[in-house]
Amino acid sequence: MSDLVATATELPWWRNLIPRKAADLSASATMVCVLLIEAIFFTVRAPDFWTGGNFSALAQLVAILGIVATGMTFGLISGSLDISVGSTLALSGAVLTRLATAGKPAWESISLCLIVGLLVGLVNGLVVVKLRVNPIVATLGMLGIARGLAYIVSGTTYVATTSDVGSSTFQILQGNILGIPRALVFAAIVMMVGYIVLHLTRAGRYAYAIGQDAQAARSVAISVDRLRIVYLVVSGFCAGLAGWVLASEADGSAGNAALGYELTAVTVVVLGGAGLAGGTGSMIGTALATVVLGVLVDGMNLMGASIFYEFVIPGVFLIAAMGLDSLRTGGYR
Amino acid sequence: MRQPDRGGSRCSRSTLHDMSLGKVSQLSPGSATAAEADAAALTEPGKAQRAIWRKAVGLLLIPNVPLALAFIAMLVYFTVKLPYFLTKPNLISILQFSSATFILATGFTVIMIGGGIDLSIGAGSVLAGLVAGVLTINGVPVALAFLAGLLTGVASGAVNGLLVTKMRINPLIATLAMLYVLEGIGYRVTGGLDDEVYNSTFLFAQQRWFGVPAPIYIAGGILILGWTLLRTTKLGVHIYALGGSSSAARQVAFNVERYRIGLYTLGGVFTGIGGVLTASLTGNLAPTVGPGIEFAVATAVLLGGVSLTGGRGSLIGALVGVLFIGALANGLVQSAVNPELTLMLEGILLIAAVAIDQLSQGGFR
Repeated sequence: MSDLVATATELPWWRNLIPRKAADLSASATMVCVLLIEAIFFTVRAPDFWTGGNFSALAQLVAILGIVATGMTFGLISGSLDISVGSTLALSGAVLTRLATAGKPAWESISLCLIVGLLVGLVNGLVVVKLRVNPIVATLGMLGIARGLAYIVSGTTYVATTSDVGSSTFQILQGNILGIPRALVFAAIVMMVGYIVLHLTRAGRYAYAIGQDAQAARSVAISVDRLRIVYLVVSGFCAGLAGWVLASEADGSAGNAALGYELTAVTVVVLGGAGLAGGTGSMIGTALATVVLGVLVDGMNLMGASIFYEFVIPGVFLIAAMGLDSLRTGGYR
Repeated sequence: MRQPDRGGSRCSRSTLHDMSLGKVSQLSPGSATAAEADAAALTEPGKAQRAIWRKAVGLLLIPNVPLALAFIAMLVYFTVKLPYFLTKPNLISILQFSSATFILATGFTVIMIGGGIDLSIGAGSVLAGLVAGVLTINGVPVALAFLAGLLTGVASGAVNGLLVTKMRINPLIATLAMLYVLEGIGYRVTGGLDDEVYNSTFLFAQQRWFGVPAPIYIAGGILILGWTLLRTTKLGVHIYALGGSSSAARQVAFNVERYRIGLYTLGGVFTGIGGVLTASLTGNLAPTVGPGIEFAVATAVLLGGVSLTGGRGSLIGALVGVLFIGALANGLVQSAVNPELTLMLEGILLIAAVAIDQLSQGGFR
């Protein structure tokens, strides 16, 4: 642990840009290989794969998934898994939709949407730190609370904008910049910021220390409790950002949006090299895994796969990734 | 020893403060009688208040006290507010709809006492009901269809056990992943469409035997069976031992892995029974996604004082928890509030139950 703090402070900053461990490198290489296999498979089996229409669909998928996974990476590395993100996403999306379609100005709707995500994360953090509830259970409770709130806010029905009210708010993240969907550019910026914070700032590096050994981190005067709250707030805030993207995508989102989304997000982060015990994982891994899973889900949709695959494939992937993780770490005993 | 956290250090500082105050009063010339000390305490209202507050919180942390208080408060509230709440038909209705939940809660309790957890219990039970229902619609004899539903539950439990023992995946994550896999399979079984079963043998749970709905008898049987298993058999003792400390159990030459697989499979039996009973009670076959049955079951069992860390808890506690959740849902529906409020309340209660359970033993650090 002290070794870790030393490397973070004594080496030049650019050294942190390169994965330090051989395991990280091999995980990234595996992911790139899987991506190539997927690309070849879908090129052969799904003729619409290389079309502009599919590219923008894929971009939306990857954008939302990437933003949620960015926040979740912070949580999981520090040892607190946040499974309330799907509900938080739906709640903040519903808040944005409700406000925007009621004719509120864009800045007001969007900032409230983000504040909702932030608050959910704050409550998660306080429950974990002050009430000492296991993070998975605490966020499981929040999964129900936020989902219930989302239904109440959106009134369970899909809020389609029949008029143009609110469309100016949604348009901010629609369309392209230089031929690239704005949502994807936005997600790339979020992931980049996440990368910088996680790997180049002290608060980010401490996530690894806390995840590896919270007691040791406490004894070297890292304020573990405060940082744990911060990481869960980051997770909630990112879910809020993703809610903004989700609501913008189709001019509004309903309370039942993103059901089961926590599964996909956990799968991505675990595939990206983060273990459940904490202390492992990286933003590069998360980014690569986002693309791998995004392409997989998108390709499956193109091939006309049902909701069966939409749930079963991430589930099987998650089990496989966790199995590999427990091979590495010894696993649950 | 644990490193004191910020809250803990504040607590120990105030204790130190109290001690130094006592020391000063002893050293001071003249008599420092107990009455004077009490007067001194009274002059410091903050301190006395704090002591009372601490005692009250300590009382609340005793297992089952918060649940009992909340139960009484809820019953009083609903009885006053709803004229129909405390009538015989309504109470029977609460029992009837709690029956299936209780059977699932029995499986959940057994697994939790054994140190595991099974979040896939809701999805597994829905799948068991779907399998039984779809087979019945396709002309399979009802008895065989029920057996197939039961086996579906058993199989899902066994898979959970294998994931936890053979692949060494943390049970929270393994069963969370299984939750989605089973939901996906549920869609596959029904083709994604809702359906109704009209076979009267299949719908046996809608009958009344001697004026009491059939599910109550079955739940009663499960209660006796589960209680006997946990309290009077050697296996029950072993399950408590396993949950209390798996490493200690390993030390005394327990085959922990085999017990765990057995534990999850046993949970699967209850999942199957509960699922088939629910399908029989409603006759409605609908694949579901989203937080649902496992949420109510986990909340009820944790409220009933079964510990998240294993080795502690009782089936009677779980029963009280299930009745609490059942009565709450019943009262809320009659109050015509937004049905999603139930989900939110369950989420809050889930967190509260775990916090009460964990705070008394240190909790997550």
